[in-house]
Amino acid sequence: MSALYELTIMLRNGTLPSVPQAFNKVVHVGHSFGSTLSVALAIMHPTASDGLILTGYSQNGSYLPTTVASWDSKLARLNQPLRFGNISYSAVSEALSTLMPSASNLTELANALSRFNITVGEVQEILQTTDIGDLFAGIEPSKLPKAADLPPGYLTWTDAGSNQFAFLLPEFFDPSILLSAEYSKFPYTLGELLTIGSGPYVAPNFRGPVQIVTGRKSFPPSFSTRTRQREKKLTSNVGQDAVYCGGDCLATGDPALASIPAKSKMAFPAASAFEAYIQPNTAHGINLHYNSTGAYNVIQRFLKAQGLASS
Amino acid sequence: MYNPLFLTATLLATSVVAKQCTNITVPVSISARNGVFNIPTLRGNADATTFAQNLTSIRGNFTEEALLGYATVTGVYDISAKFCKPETENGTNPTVQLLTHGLGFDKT
Repeated sequence: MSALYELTIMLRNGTLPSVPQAFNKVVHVGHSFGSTLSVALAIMHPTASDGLILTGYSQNGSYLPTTVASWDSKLARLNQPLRFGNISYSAVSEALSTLMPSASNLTELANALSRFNITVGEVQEILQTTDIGDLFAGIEPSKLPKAADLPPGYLTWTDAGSNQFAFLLPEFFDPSILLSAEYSKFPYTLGELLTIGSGPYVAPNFRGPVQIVTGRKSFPPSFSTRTRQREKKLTSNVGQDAVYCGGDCLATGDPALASIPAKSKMAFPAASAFEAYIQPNTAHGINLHYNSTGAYNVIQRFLKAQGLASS
Repeated sequence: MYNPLFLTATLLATSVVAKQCTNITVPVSISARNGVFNIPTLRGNADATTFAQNLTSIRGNFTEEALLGYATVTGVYDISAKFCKPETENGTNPTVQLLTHGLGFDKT
C-alpha cells in the first residue's frame, strides 16, 4: 500500500521516471488483492485517490479459505524451476536438444509410448493439466527468462487445474488461454496470504466515486439444448467469481441485497457515487474470458459519467 | 457479404485508439508499518501445505495467532511498472488510471 501511495504522489507531482506529466486526477483500478490495496489507500490517504474501480472484489472473505485450499500451494522455485528457481537454462536447453524428438521422430515417439500402453493424447493431458507440465514453463527459447531464484516464501498454485478453479468459468474462455496463463503466472507470498483477509474495510472519509466490477455468470442460453446432445459436456453453472462470491455473486440469500459486492455500499458512506456491477459469464480472472472488453466498457462509461475521463 | 464485412472491419480499425506503452522501473522510497509473523522459513512443499492448513482452519485466527508485533520497514524498492498513453493526446486535463494487479499476476 505504501508503494501504491508513493506512485500516486509521483503521478500527481510529475516525478514518475520517464513520465514528466503531472496529473490532476488519479483513478485507482485494482483487481483482487490490488483492489484490497486500493481500498487500503483510500482509507489511509482519503484524498490521494479521485476514484476507485475495484474489480474481482467484494468484502466477503468467506470464500478465501476455499480458494487458498484449492491452490494446493507449492514453493514457486520448485513448481516452475526454470522461471523461479536456480536452474541453469543453458544446461537444460542443451540436454533437451539432444533428447527431444524432432518432428520426423513423432511417429517413433508415438510407437514407443504405445509399448507402455499410453497414448500421445494422455501424455499431452498430463503435461497440460498437472504440475509436471509446470516443470517446463519458461522453456521456449524465444522467451528465455532469467531464473529468479526466489526464496521459499514465494508460493504458487499447483497446476492449471487450480488455476481454472479459482479464476475461470468453463465454456466462457478460450481453452488455450489456460495453458498460456499457467505458464506465465506469478507467485504470491506468505505475507499476502496472511494479510489478504484482514485490514480495514470501511473508508469513511473517501469522497470519490466507487465502482465494484466482479464476474458473474448466468445459465448458458443453450443449456437445455446441451442436455439433449448425445455427448454431454461437463459445464459448470457456478464457478463465477469463486474467490469473492463463492461461485455466484447474485446468491445473497437476502432479497434486499442485489449482489454480494453490493453490500460494500456501507463501506463507502461518503462516496460521491457507488455502483456494484456484476459482469455476466465471467469468473475471477475477468480479463481471460470472452466478454472481458464489455466489462472495461462499463468501467470507462462509469468514469466518464463521474467526470473522470480525460479532458 | 464481402462489402459489409469490409466496412465493419474498417470502422473497427478507425475507432480503435492506438496506445504507446513504456516499461519503467520506479525506485520508491517506502516506510511501512508491517506485521511481524512467527512463521519459520519454509523448507519445502510440505511446509507450504502445513501453512495453508493452518491458514484455512475453521478457527480462523491464524494471522492473529502468528502475529508477534509490528515493525517499521523502510527502504528503497524498485517497482516494475508500465506507463501507457493514447497515441493522440488532445486533452489539457488528462486522467491517469493506476492499475494494481492481484495475487498470482503481474503487470503483463
